Amino acid sequence: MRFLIRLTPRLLLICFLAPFASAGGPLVVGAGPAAGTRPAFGIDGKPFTWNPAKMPIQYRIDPGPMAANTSGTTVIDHASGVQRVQGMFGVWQSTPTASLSFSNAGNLLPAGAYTSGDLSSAQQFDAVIGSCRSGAQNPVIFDANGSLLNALGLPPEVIGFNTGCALDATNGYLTGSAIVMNGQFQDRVTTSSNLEMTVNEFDEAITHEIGHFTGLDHSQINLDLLLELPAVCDEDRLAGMPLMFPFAFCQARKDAGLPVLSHDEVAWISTLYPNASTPSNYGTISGTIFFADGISQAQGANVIARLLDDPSTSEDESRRVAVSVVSGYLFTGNPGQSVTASISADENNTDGDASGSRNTSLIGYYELSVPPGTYTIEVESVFDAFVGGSGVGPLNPPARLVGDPEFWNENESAFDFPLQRDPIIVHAGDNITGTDIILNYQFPRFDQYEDGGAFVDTPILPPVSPEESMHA
Amino acid sequence: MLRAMVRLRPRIVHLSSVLLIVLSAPAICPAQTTARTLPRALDQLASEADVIVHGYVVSARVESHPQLTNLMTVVVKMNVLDTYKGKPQKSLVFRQYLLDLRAQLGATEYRKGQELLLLLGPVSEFGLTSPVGLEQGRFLVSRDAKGKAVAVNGRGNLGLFNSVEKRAQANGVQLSARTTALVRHPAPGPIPLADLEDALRTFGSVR
Repeated sequence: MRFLIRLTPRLLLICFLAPFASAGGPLVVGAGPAAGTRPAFGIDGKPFTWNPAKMPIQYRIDPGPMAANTSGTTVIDHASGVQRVQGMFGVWQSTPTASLSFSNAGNLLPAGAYTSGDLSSAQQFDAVIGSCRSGAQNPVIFDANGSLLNALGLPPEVIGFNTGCALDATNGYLTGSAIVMNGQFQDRVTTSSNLEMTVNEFDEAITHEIGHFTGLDHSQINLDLLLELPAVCDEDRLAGMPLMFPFAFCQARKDAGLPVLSHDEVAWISTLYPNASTPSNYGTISGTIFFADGISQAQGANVIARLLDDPSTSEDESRRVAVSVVSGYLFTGNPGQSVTASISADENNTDGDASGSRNTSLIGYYELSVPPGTYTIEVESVFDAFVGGSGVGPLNPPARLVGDPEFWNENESAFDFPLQRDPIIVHAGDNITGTDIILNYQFPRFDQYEDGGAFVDTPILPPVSPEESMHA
Repeated sequence: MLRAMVRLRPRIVHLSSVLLIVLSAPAICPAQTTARTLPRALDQLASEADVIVHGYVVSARVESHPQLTNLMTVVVKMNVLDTYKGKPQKSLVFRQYLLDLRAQLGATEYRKGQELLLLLGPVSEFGLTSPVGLEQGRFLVSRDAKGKAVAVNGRGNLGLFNSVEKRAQANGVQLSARTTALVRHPAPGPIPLADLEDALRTFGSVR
């Protein structure tokens, strides 16, 4: 494989200017203590999560109806809406290997322009978000007819969103977050400007948003399904496709008889919020992804652990049971640079992103928690269309690996057969380290003209005749 | 086989090369990842948009909304090269609500120097607007290996031409040969900017 670094100098400059980056797996990662002018931000290399000592996470719900039609008639009343919201949070809470829990603390608390009743105006939304920013409440807002989203200048295609309000930058915790649900998708009216979804599709979209609420970013598994865009997704690949995939295009998981969370989400939520049973149900596989020189770490490759298929079953376990992360997910996507700071304040990227470790040993590092079993490890590009709102991992736009996915094998090199794969047996509690992959047919490092310090053996050439040798 | 025998031996970790990789990583334009949207085709997006422009971002400033002070917004100023819908203008300024915590902290999707083709929805009473379909109505323009301008939206143009021909026929819209070819053979990934422009004009969003 070979990286195609497709950045124009302009884009490179543009990207240097961004002060904050996303992370693959966790949404926000600590950068550690203050350094220079960069303020302290969480615990170095540790994902931001809700404080496990302060479970359950309390949320408060808009007292209004969940969905109403344009004439103001309630289509889904408040009580039914509450039941559905609790069910959506419950999907995450029911993970037996995670300590995450939620509780419905009741109606929204009054805040400024919002005194009580149905939250229906942008001013009230602003006030409630203010209280979320102060850590007073985590609101779940029913925008029953889409008018709030309209006032916020958001398009009717927005099914719902999560907006993080506050975090504890000292201790690395998320402390405030809000969910908004567009009831127009459930008002049983379908026009070009009033779109509709099934109950399961809608609930899974909001459950995805709750995934962000917990601190999870997007995930990429079974990308081939997206590229085919089938009318109906096959069950094996849908089962393995994360709910946190950047966008939904298949039938609802529930409609296919699948659990709402894939193995990927269950593994990740158990990683971020482990409980006493997690070690007896998971083992970890970790390693580093390298450029072709075998020493320079490569950030931004999507790493997937897949369970080996069991030929005795009709299901394809390798498509169904998979866990992924982007290499360098704990490292910042933008370490900063001071070169452009002298141009203008707008160009100052001295501190880089607040998020992400500056520990260079994490640049290509990955770690995956998997249920016991026999796995293969593969790397692939993050789909290059996953930019902007669809981003996966710390690099946006993503770095591109050229060629087919490459598997890990025991004799890793930059020239091994990409499909050569060796199984890794994982028992509960195992920590299997050093599962490193050297990318094939790849530049030796990001800058191919830089000396990485690698020693490269020359190929074994055919014997040279004495005559040729003399002429050489 | 000969190549397979070539082995690389890691020797020493050269910190400067590692840092160079980090500093050079094509990485850093962040995302508004925290909204779920329904997919729409280009004709639907064009119909929904009030303004369709192609241009360069001159500045993108993150600031609180002047009235809704707890809401963070980004104020984007663009130099407009071409207007496909709405009043033709040389520059455009709009304000967008930022949902994403990371974007609120400064990492918006808009960066100085970006070349964009934007389909913007109506401006709300609070002066806010967004690309229609969010990531779907925001096309990043770049140059391919041959120097040709190409455009891709935040969904990689996936589903951008779904049922477009069928709707065009139903509505009596005549598609150009270029647009017909585009909608009949859709492929994920960037499309030529000229084709996108032609399609936008064909869908009745003429300048």
